[in-house]
Amino acid sequence: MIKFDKVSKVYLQGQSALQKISFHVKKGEMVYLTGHSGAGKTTILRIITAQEHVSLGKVYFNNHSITDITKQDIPFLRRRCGMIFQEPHLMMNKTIVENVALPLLIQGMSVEQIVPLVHQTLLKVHLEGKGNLYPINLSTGEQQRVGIARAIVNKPLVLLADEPTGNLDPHLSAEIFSLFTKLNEEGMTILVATHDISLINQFARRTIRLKNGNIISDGPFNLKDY
Amino acid sequence: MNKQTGVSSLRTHINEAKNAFDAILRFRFMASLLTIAVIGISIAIPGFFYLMVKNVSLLADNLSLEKNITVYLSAQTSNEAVNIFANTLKKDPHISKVRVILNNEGLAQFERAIGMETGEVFAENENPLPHAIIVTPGNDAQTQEELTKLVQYINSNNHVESVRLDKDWFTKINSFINVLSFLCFFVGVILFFSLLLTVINSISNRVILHADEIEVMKLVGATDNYICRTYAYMGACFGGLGGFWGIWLATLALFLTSIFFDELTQAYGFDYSMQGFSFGEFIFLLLFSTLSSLVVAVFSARRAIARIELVE
Repeated sequence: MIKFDKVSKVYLQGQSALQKISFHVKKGEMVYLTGHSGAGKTTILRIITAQEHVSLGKVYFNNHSITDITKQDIPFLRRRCGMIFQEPHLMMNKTIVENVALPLLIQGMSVEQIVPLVHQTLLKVHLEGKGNLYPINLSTGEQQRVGIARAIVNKPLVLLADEPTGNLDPHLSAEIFSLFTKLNEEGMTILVATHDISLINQFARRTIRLKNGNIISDGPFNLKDY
Repeated sequence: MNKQTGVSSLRTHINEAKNAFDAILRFRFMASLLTIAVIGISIAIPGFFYLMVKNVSLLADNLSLEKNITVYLSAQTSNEAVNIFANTLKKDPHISKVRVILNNEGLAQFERAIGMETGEVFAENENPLPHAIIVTPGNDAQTQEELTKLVQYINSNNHVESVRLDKDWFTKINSFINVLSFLCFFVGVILFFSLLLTVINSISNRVILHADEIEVMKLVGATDNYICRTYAYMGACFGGLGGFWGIWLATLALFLTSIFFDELTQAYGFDYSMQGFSFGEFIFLLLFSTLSSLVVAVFSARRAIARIELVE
């Protein structure tokens, strides 16, 4: 599904974010990207969504090279990726339903098509009955779940999460990871960048460990490595 | 990669147009109102000048009916030849009235005017006055161009010595119309730029204010064109509403002017009512305002949107 082939990323200031890293995330896999701040986790996710261009190497998404993706094709790539951030990035002047429906509206779906999909997704993230509220009326954990609902409503090929529990307490964090696990069990490919070792330990999956832009380990999670 | 079909694209266009209109009413209403007011004034001022040019031109054309052409014939022309020529002129469809003043009648009138008896000043065979014909142009010879053609036609006759048309009056009124037309064009160009700048400023500000929202939209796969639509339709709404307001303002100004204009025309004994925009002119102005605002909104929105990228 996602393949990095000897990818390097050097910023204009000369700072190196990734150094010839290679890995392959298969369809239906759930993988953690872990490491200290500045290890390169976010850079990897930004490269997949074409927010960053690679300096060297090749990146493949669903068997298509996205290394030299054109500006016009970037939105269509992003429609295939559900993205979740530390901040949910919700539109505060729109209701929960309107927020979740946004990717479907952008794809030109009719209201008749959108309504059942949105309700089905809200049910999945346990926000049924809150569709007509505004983000300001929800707790931080609920807002993050709205962000997840918006990321998965159009059934993307892959779900990318960048420190999705950074602002949440342990209980809510576990709830979010439990949701990821459930989505993965339904067949969704998931890539989660996190440095929360206890959560990775709790929901153990393949873990790619990064340090200074290099992969130092790639395999099943082992608490002894940390 | 998946791209939108024509039908779904049309649906989203309609949806975005509705959203844009809603956004004007709901979000920063006073700012929207001010933008519409400025666009309206940008349309109203040149629109009013245009109406003045139009009405003065129409009035000038109407007044031409009151003007006569004086034809002076050569001294050798016999009375019979004068009458034949006068009859030829009477048959001309562009002429409504012909009055012949033979040179002896003219002399008698002149002698009476200075208080002398007939034959006291000049003997009949020493009469220095030429025969004259006063021609009143018909309804289909009202404009200066048509009158000039008529003068040329009359002048082509061998007996004609000279033809006098009150050209000074036309020259003066035409100079006035030319000045007014230039003023209308000049003010129109300046205010057109003011309209463009108002729309650019309004749309750019709105894009900047919605930068967070635009980032989110880009994040979930919205194209720049998709995001731009709302602002394009917003620009069109500004232009349409501003244009409508401008036309109304210009018409109101014309109505107020007509009160004084009527007094003036009545004082000179003319019967003329001022005319507002025709249906065609109304549609043209509305389309002009709407489309120019749409184009400039697309331009400014695209530039502003392209600069926004999601930064985590």
